[in-house]
Amino acid sequence: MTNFIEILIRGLMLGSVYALVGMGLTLVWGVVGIVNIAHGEFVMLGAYLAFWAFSLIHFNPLLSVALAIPIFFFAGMTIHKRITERLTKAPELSALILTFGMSILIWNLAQFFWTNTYRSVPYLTGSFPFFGLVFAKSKTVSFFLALGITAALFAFLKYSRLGKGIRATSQNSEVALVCGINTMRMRAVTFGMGIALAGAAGTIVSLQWVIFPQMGASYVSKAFAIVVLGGLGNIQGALAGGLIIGVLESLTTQYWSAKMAQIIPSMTILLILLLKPTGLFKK
Amino acid sequence: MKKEGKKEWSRRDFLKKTVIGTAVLGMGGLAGKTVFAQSKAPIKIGVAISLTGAWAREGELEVGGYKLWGKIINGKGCTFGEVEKLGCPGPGLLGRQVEFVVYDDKSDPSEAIKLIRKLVVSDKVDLIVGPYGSAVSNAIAPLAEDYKIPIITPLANAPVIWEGKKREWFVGVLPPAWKNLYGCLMIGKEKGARTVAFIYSDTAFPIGATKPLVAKAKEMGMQVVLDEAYPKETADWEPIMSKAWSQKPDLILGGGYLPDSIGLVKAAKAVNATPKMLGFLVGPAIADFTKSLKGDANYVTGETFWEPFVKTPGNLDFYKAYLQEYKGEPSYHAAAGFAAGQILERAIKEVGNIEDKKALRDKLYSIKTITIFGEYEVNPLGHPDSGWQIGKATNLIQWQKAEGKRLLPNQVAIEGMVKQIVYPAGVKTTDAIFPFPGWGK
Repeated sequence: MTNFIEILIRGLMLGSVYALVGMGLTLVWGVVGIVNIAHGEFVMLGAYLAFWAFSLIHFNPLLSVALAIPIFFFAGMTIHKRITERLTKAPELSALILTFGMSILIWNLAQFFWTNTYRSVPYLTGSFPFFGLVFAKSKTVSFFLALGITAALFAFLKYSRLGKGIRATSQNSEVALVCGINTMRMRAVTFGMGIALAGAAGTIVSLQWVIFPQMGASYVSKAFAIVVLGGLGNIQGALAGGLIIGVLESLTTQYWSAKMAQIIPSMTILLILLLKPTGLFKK
Repeated sequence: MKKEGKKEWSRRDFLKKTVIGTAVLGMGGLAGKTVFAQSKAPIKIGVAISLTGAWAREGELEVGGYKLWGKIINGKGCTFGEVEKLGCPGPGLLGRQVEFVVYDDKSDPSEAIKLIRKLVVSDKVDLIVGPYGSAVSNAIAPLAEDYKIPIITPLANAPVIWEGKKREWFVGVLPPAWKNLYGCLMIGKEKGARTVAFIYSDTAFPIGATKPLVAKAKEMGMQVVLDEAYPKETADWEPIMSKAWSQKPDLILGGGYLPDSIGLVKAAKAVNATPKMLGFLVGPAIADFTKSLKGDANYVTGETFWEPFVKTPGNLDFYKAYLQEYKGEPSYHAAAGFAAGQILERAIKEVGNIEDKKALRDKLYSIKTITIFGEYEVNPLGHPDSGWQIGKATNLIQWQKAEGKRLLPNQVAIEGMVKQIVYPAGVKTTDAIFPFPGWGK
């Protein structure tokens, strides 16, 4: 039983990071209408930001999150204004192809500049005991950090004027426009927020896993499962979806096999699309 | 680009010299002595190897090993270590200079086949030494049988080349995959380990290396508490490590490549797994492993084919000669290339001529020797896997604290730790630290 609780909590910790990645993707998809295949690459860039800040100037990787959020936010806004905005009215396939190209470009550039060397941030390694259970320090801290970011995101979307504007744009872009909301600006802000979430997730990931240029691919596939599970554009759904995928992965590895655990995201997509295409949490 | 004052062999120079014709080795400073040796026809050794394409770097390093061996032979008639005991009768091998005819296979097995035909039919080489890698070696192996010319391949070990093939003219130098991490089991057994968990990447090499190890562990009477492959896409090794550690095994072995090894060690620390020994396939022997993990790399074991400080006969002399020749550290590719030369050197000297290919082949299949790279012994003729290397052990390394240790020549400390060879007994630099003292200790 102790083992089961330990595995369950570890799954939640794992899922909290997946949720961050998934929330970024679902925001951009739901509000801006762009399926960002390059989303995983921003996770990778976030991880490299934390790595380089740590190895070059010994910058605390936890503080890198605070560094990553504004940097990735403005980078995301700029990318949207310069590139992706023109695709908001185009068929979805155009955005898919563009972001796919962007993904290839980004990881190739990362490979060119930083080589294929595998890196990791040796910070907060080890574990601490908790009533007979053992948890990784990095994952525990990451868990609370991810929850904090998620709470801040919820509060922002619910209470701030900008957040309300984003929600309005998400629900009905044309009505929002009629009501005087600058939907173009809302889309740019949302794109920036989506990228910032990916970047923040990347800095958190850097503490736990190995960093290399192609690492984004595994996150983007999980993020797609989360979006499908939670419902397109549904932030709460993405949080729940992330946690569910994390727990399922953790339990499946322990009680079945690691290979089966990797199939979970794609199985989830398939089952949800077959049984409840609007996602588990979409009314 | 050629740097002034450096004897660097750029690829362009190399190709120019070799593809046009032959590279006569070891002429510098020996003019007086070589006049006599050159009165006999040179021994022509053919090489079709990757000098461009995917394996260009490895091929280049391997040729560096061949070339250095040729130069030393042409200079004093013998190389280092065991083979030196056969005598150094002066320049050349059997009084004949060694010449290499080198072509670029462009990292393409089909190109290599054409080039081997050319080497045998047009260039009429006396012997052939191998290309880089299992893919090209596997492609050219049947030609050795067709032309009845012995080929020794230093850097190939895929089972597909030898397993059940009854090769009669094709011998290998690298240890087969199943020898990996064997040292962990041996040390574990000796120190009373009873249980072992295997977690490894679901790809060809780790599976090929681990499966026989699982059987070996059972044969030794150990209880295999987990035998599980994880997908190669795995980015978080904590769940699988947690699963392995939930069985509290004495040994946790497996892994795959460098990221796996780093990830598995991080995961082991994260779940506070403290088995008596952690051993992973590729990774621990690479400097990046220790640079990434810092102190957590301590006591982790892993596999290596060769190290500059390994105590094989003549290794130090080889290291010095290589450094002098190429102004850089040798890799195991170069060491294996050099070792292939040493094996030929012994076989040719013992046979006493180069013309009797069959006698030479028989010798290559029957000798048991040790080179700078390690032991050499292949499955004999008539064996279903004849020609497959069985003598060479992989060396098990363990990172240990450098503090208070006297370092061997060529042994360097990284992050306060030093790579020690702990198995096999013949080449070990120190004893393995067993059981694992715990994280941060």
